[in-house]
Amino acid sequence: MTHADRHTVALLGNPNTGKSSLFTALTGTRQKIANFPGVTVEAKLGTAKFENSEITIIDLPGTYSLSARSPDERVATEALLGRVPGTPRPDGVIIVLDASNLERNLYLATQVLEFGLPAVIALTMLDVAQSRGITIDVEMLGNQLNATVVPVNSPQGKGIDALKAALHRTLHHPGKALHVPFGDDFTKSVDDLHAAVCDLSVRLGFKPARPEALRLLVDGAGPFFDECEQVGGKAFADSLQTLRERAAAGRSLALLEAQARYGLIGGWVAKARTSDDDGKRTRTDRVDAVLTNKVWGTLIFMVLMLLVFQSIYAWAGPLMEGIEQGVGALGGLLLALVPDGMPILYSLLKDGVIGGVGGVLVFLPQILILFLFIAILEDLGYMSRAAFLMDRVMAPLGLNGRSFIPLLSSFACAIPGIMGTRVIEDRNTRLTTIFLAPFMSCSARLPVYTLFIAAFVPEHGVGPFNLQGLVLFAMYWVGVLFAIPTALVLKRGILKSKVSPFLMELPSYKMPRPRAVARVLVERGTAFIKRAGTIIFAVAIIVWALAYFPRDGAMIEKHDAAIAASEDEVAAAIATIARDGGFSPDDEALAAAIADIEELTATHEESVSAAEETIVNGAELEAALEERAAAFAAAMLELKRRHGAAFEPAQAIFTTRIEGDEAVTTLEKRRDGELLAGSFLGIAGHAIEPAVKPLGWDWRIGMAAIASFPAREVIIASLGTIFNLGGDEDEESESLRHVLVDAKDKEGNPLFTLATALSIMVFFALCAQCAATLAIIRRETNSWKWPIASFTYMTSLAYVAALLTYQTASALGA
Amino acid sequence: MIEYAIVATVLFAAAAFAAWRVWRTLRVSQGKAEGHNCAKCPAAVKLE
Repeated sequence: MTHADRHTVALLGNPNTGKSSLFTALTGTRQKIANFPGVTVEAKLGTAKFENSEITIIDLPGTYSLSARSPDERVATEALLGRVPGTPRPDGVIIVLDASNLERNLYLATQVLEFGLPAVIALTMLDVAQSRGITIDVEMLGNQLNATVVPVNSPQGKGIDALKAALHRTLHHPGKALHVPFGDDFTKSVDDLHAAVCDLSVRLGFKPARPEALRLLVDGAGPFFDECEQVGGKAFADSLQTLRERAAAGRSLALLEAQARYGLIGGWVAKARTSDDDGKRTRTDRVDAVLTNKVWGTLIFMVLMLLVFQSIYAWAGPLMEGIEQGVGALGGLLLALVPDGMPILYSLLKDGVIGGVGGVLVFLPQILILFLFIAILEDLGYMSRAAFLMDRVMAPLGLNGRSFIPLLSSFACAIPGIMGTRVIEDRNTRLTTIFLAPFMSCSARLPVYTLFIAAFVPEHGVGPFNLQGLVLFAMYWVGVLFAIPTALVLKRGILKSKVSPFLMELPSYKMPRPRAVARVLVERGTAFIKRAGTIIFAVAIIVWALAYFPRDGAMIEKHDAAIAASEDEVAAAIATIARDGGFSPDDEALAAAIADIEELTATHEESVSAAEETIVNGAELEAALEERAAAFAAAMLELKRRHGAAFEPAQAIFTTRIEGDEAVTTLEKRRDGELLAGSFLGIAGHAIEPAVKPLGWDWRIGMAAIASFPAREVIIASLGTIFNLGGDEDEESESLRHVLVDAKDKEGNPLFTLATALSIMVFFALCAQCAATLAIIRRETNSWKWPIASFTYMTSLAYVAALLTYQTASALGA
Repeated sequence: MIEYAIVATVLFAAAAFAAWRVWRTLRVSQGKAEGHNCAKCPAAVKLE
C-alpha cells in the first residue's frame, strides 16, 4: 500500500445527528479512544477500508459551532488543523447533517467548509424528515454547498459504500473553501487580524488559519486569544479590540456572523428543501408537548422522582436483608479463624471491619436501584427533558442554561459535575455552578439518608406514598432549596454576569437498552464496592484504632472482677433456690422444667413482637396482645401441672438467670462505655461535645461526623465501629439500624430521636464533606480561595440548618 | 506477639493508604495528577 492510499478524515456534526452510528458503520469494530490533553472530551479513532485505500476516521465530539470560548470547544478546531498531539492531521472531513434540522446543522457546516478541507456531507435522519413531510433535493443541496451530499442510514448500512466512494473521490479532487459574504468592514478586519496572528506564528509554533482569525474576531476570548495574548502581549489585545470595534460598527459581532451565515443557509434551504404546509408532528413531538409543558411536565417530573424514591424503600429491603445476612455469615467465618487469646485482632475484625465496612456494603442495593432509574431515564431520553424543565425553573436565578447539565450530573457525583462546567464560557457563571454543585445530593449521601430514615421515620402510608420515601424525596430537595438563595446572592453580587441563551438538543425517545442499563449498574456497583474497600476501609480501621486505644488494664481488671462476682452471685442464688425446692442444681426434672419455661417464654415474646410489627391499629393490637397473654398464662398453668414440684423452683431459677444476664450485660456495657470514653477518640469527642450538643448529638455522633469529612459514607462505618466498641450492640442488634435505635445517652434515654436523625441528615445534605470535591474545585478554579469558601460556607450553613432542624423538631415533640 | 504484629501491619497499611490518598488529592487539586475524568466517569449523567 502506498502512502497516497492512506488518509485521515475528521467526522464532525451536531450532537444527536447519528454521528456515532455512522462512525461505527464506517469503521466497524476497528476503534480506539483518543484523549485530548487538558479537556474533558475525547475522540474515537477508527479505520475504514475502501478498495485499496485505508482511511483513519477521527470522530470528534458533537458540537453546534466552532465557537472556541471554552477549551472543550476549541478541541474541534485544533483537531481539524491537526494540532492535537497524538491525533493525525485530517486530509478531509465528513460533515454529518441531520435532514430534519437542516438550518441549524448547516450553521456548523458553513464554519467547517471555510477551512477549505476536502469535504463530503453525510445526510442522516432522512426518515425522520420524511415523517414530518420534509423532502430534500440531495443533488441541489450538494450544488449549493459545492460538496457531494450522500444520504445515509447507518443502522441499516444504507449509503455507507456510497459515502466511502464519494470520500475517496473528494480526497483526490479537493474543492474550494466556502466564502461567506460578511460585510466589507467585517471581512477587512478578519484579513487584518489574520495577518496580525500570522506575524505571531513563529512564537505561536503554528500558522493560524483564516477561519481561526474570524473566530478570534467574533469571540474576542478563549484559549486561542490567551495564546496570542501571551506571545503578542497587550499590543495584540489592543489591536484586536480596535479591529473588533471596526468590524462591529456598533452592532454585535456574534449577531453579524449569525445573520451572514443564516442568510446564506436560508437561500440554500429554500432551493433544496420542500415541506408539507402543516409539517407532521412526530411521536416524540407529541410526547414532548406534555413532558416539557410547564405545568404537566413539572408535575410528571415530580411524580416520577417520588416513585424513584418510593421504589428505593420498597425494593431495597429484601436485598439489604440478604446482604446483611451474607455479611454476617462471612463475618462469622472470619471471626472463627481468629485463634483464642487474641482480643485486639478479634475486635479489629468484628468492630472495625465487619461492623464498619460491612455496614456500608449493606447499602449497595439502594445505590443500584437509584442508578437503575437514572440509567433507564437517561437511555429513554428523558433526562434532557428534565434538564429543560429545570432550566426554565432556575433561569430566573441568573444561571446560564449550560449550568443545569453539570448540576444534574452532581446528583450522582459532584466531581464530574464540576468538571463538566468547563463548557460554560462565562467565568462568573462557571464559578457559581461550581459553587452550587456540591449542594446537589450525591449518591454518597444516599446511605446516610436511608440509614436514618429506615431507623427513625415511621413506615406510615401517606395517601399512595410511604412516609419514608417522602422524607427521602424531601432530603434530595434540601440541597436544591439552599442552592437557590446561594445562587441568587452570588449572581447578583460578586459573580454578576449576563445570562446568555442556551441551546440544547432534545433527542428522540427510544427504548432503554438492557445492555447499556446493565453497564451503568455494574460500573456504579463496582465503584461503590471499591470505595468501601479502599478509603472507607482505611478510615474505618483508623477510627477503630482511635476508639480502641489506649486500653486501661486496671480498669478492665476492675470491671471483669465485678462481672465475675455478679456471675458467681447468680450461680449461688440458683443453687439456693434448687436446694430450697428439694432438688440438686443439676437435677434432670428441674432442667427439663427450666427448658420448657424458656421455650414457652421465647415463643410468647416472638408472637408479641410479630403482633407489634404487623398490627397498626391501636385497639386491634391491644386485643391481640391480651389474647396472647391469656394463651401464655394458660400454657404456663399446663407446664405447672406437667412438672409438678419442679415448676416453682424452675420458674424462680429462670427469672434469676435472666436478671443475672441483664446485670452482666449492664456491667459489660459500662466497661465498654468507659473504655471508649477513655480512648483517643473518646477524649477528643468529649472535647468537641459542647459544639455538637445543640444539634442533638452526643460526642459519638460528633466524632463519626468529623471522621466523615474525607468521604460521607464513612459515617456509617464510624457509627458501626463506635457503637459496637461502646457495647451498644447485643444479640438482638441484627444491623446498625437496630444498634442506633437501641443506643442510649448518659442518662439511659434513647440517644437518637426523630429530631436527632433529621438534624444529622440535614447536616449531611449541606456540609462539604468530600475531600475529592474540594480538590477538584481547587483545580478547576486554579485557586484555594474557592474550595476554602465552599467548605466554610457549606459547613457553617450545615451547622446552622441542623441546629434549627433539631430545635424545631424537638419543640414539635419529634 | 503475632497478634500485635498483625494489628500493627493492618494499622500501618491503613494509615499509609490514607496518607497516599491525601497526597494524591493534593496533587489532583494542583492539576499535577489525573483524579477523575468526567468523560469516563460512570457517575456523569449523560443527556445524549
